Amino acid sequence: MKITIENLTKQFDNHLAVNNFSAQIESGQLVSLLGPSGCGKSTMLNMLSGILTPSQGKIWFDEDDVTDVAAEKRGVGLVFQNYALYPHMTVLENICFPLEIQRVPKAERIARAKEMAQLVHVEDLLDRLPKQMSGGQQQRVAIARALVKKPRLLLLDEPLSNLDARLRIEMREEIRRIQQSIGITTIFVTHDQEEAMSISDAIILMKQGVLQQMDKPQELYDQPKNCFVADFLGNPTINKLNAVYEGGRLLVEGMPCDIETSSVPASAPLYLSCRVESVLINQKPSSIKGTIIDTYVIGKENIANIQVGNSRVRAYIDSDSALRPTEEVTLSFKNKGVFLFDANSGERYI
Amino acid sequence: MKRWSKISFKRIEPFLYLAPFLIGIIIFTLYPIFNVFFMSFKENYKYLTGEFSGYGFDNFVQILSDPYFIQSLKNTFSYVLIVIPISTCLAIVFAVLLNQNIKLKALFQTAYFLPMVTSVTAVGMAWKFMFNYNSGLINFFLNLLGFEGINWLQIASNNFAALAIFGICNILPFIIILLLSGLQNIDPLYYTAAKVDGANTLTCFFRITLPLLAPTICMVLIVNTISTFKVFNELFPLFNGPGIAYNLFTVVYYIYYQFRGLTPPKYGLAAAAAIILFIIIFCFTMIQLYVQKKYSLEENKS
Amino acid sequence: MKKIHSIKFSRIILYIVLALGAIIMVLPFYWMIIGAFKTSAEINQFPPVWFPSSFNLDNFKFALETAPFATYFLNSLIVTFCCLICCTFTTILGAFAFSRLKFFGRDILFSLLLALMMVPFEMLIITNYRTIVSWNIHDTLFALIVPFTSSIFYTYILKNFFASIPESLYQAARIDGCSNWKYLWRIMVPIAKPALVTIILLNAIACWNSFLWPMIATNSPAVRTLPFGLYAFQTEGGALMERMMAAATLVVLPMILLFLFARKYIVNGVARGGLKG
Repeated sequence: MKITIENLTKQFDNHLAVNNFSAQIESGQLVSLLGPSGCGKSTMLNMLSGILTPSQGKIWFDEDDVTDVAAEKRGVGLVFQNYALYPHMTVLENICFPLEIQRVPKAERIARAKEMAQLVHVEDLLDRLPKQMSGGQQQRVAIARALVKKPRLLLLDEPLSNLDARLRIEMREEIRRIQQSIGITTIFVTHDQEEAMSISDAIILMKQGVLQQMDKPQELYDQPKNCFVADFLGNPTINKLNAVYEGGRLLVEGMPCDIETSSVPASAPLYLSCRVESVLINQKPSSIKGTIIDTYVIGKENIANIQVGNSRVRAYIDSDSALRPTEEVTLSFKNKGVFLFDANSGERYI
Repeated sequence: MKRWSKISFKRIEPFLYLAPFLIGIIIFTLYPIFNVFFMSFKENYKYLTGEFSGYGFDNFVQILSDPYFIQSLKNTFSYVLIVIPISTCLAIVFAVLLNQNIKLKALFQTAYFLPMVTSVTAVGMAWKFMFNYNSGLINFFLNLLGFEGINWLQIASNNFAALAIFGICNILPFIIILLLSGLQNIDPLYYTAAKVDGANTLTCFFRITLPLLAPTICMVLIVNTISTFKVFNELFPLFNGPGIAYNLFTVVYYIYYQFRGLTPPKYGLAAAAAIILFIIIFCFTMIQLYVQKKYSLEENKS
Repeated sequence: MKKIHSIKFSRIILYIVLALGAIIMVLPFYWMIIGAFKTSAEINQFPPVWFPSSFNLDNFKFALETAPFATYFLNSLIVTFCCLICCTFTTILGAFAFSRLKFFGRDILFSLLLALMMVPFEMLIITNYRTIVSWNIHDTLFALIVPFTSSIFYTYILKNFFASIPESLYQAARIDGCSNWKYLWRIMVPIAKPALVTIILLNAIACWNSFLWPMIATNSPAVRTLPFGLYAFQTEGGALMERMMAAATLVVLPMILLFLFARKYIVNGVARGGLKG
């Protein structure tokens, strides 16, 4: 099912949770709603599910305007952060409950519930109570319960945040598998960029109720539309250097830089943002100089912390590198993963 | 049209849920409050016809000059002043002991908490039996210890003591339970820390248990003061009324007596006495709210 | 060595004090039950008789047959049962409305009700008596039930419990198309079972033992409940102690049994919410 969101706005008493939001989600896709906490992504989700009514704008499911349709009539399945399993019901009863409300005959109810249980791999736990299961298992049951009534849209509200790190990776792959196997349009709310990057067909990045960019994960990383997008994605976070365009050339932390620029307003404060993997040390002649502060190892990666003017830059170095603290180095950049933003508006120039 | 009816159902639905509850409250709690309030100010109120000559303080003047009402105030206050400190002290001792790691906890709990669930009237009968001058258990023990038996029930001046003893035993379980739950909220780490520092049991009690239990004790004191102010039921099994010679009037008994013990009933006087009871209880409730606020503020600070 | 000795010694003292207290608390009950089996000769003996010579049931027989204690017992059962049904029902509905439904003035209304809790019941009886007289139901069992069909205290306790159930369960059910009514009975009530059991037990104890209101609202023996019937028995029945004790045992026994079976619920309930009244 295709979802069209048109100028959606939600105004709470004194703050604007979602501001003039428009997007289109293609049928069968898994789309992540990504953003820092308080960015309005949960409000967005609640408006899609029908728990909240928008102040303005419209939501279309395929050709149907569902803006004023009650939650239970929209045909959406919702999975909550805390799973929201009914604690006094067994797994089977939990999965059956949505069908019970729809007055599906009992035999069919159980058959469909068992089918769902199989899909999410909890068929051996049907008689357990929620408290007798691990977080991952509860999550699977919650997904089965959301899917059993054959919704047109599956909504997941931070479904992995209550799990430990290892389970989180396992469950996100599971969610992807289940979503692909039934081909349901899915919206996945998360604040974890890695989660979003790893399973989505597309990511919607939000900030303070405003859509920043909607794109494929890799596009979002490679071609951020603005400074916020570039900052938010990537681990380690992107390096940010103060820059200014003066006298026909770019000065980075006061040092001239040979990056080609065009159509950049003169004298305006700028940021030169570069991915950690795009920083080169002592490889090309360059007038950008820095001082090594320290070097450290995370897993297989060696990283150097470099002071450049008033900013810090991180860069990957070879494991056998002889760089030592206080050493002076020259920095240059690869062609990919280097962006120039307006420091005030966040607008991207290159 | 259909949509409209749906929205309006959503509007009234909460009140459909509330209605059965609210109807009861309005008729038997809210209305009586106003009714009693106005009744207490009606002068020369005739309950059969509903006539009255006007509003005024006549009822209050009357009961405040009624020696029985003065006596009931005096009795009630002295009852509270005796029962509350003694029962609270005893309860602290027993609660601390019950909170130790003891065997047969269930058995002890059952024994201590039994009077809480049983009828005051029925248990009072047993006490009456035990207070008996000639064959009672209490005088038997007094004799064993070398004292003379006391005529608890038939001599008016001893009535109050009997009532107080019965009252203390009756209220004890309730206080113990509240204190026990307060004790269970004290982190055992404090005791471990104190033991490491070489504190002995008594030091632990006075320097850790009591200060940390203070908020609970305060609450218990006020809650029980309010409930003991309503002493009434205890009078019936022991004395068939307010003492053997109308010497043990309490405030609630006075209210009861004015509109149920007299013919014709004096509703105005009963209402005025009820208002005075309410004022006393209101004051203690305010103290309770104040103390609660103070302690919760302190908790937030730390 | 000396330390271990003193610890042992203090344990012994602890148990002695606890046992002494327990004996004092249980003594009235022992004395009541033992007294119920005594003959009139034994009961007036001094020094007292600790064990009756035989466990004959004559005194119970007298209480049940001569004085209408069987009727009192039945009345108490009916009144307690009806009060529990009505009060639990209104409490569940009210607590649900206050904890999950949104309506104008909800919080103000609730604080108002909490403020009403400090008004002593003893003040309300004056008007309530006149109300039931004007409805012409005084001296009937209805009079003992109708005023207790709703309780702010229990609604308050249950509302707090309901509020502690995550809102997401409610939303999950709503999305599945579950009505409020169905959600309340299928999800909320089963989850709140422990709190409900506590409320019902506390209410049962209060109903069974209530004395002041039955004494005011009823008069004829046919509608007396146990505590008031017992009191009337004392004043009207010539007051033979052994028979009184038998009657008192009948009043107390059901609650003792209830307590033995549901001690944990009752103790926890009292610890959390305090007693009513």
